[in-house]
Amino acid sequence: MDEHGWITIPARMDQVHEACGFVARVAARHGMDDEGVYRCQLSVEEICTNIVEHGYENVERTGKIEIWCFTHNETFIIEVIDDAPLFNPLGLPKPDPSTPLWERSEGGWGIQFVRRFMDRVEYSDSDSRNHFRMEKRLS
Amino acid sequence: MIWNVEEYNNITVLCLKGALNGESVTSIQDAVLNQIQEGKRVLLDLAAVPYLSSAAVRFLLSLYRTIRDRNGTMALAGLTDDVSDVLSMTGFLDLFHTYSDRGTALALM
Repeated sequence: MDEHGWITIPARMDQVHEACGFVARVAARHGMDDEGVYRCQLSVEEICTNIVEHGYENVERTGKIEIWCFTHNETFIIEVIDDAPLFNPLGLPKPDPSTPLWERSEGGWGIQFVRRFMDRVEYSDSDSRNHFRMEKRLS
Repeated sequence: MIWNVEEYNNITVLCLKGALNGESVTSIQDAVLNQIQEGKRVLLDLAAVPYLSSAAVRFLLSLYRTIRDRNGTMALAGLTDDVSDVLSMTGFLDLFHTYSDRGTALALM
């Protein structure tokens, strides 16, 4: 593992931009190009928004979200960890593109964007916490 | 997120500026939807929107439904490559006329 950094934010919509800004700064410092930085930022936003809107939805106290960033073998890795009830967003069904847009339910796009924008995504529930890991090649 | 509405030849031009994400959508959604009048052609100018998140796509879908329910039509102008990429993934671009910029749209709509 090379240099790394992490941030903890309260799981609130008005804090999600803090996580995005942090990831953008670390990604740029590690040599990610502008398009890659934008894609990392958007992916973190999608994951954090899901955690705020769905993960902690029925939990009384406000939770926290940890965001870890590091590089390994020329790959930038972002890990988002939370203590909401365990849930694997990669298990969600993909939106059906053959359904007319106006008839579709409005959910499910965020995780599709993340799959599209990152090179590899992985979910695990080690230590009874949600870990969502995203990887993007630096070159 | 900054937005404004202008009228040209009976076309409502809705111009958005800034990143369109969960936080900014929440702050503008109700006010923007309230601006949609009956039977209007609406041009959404996104030239100053560098990126969209999925929350923004949901907002655009609400906007489209509101315009349709009020018997209007919607077109898009000024999409950056990143915005275009996201919208094509969701099937959004199949539904609307898109124009390279606002001037072209107003000349052709």
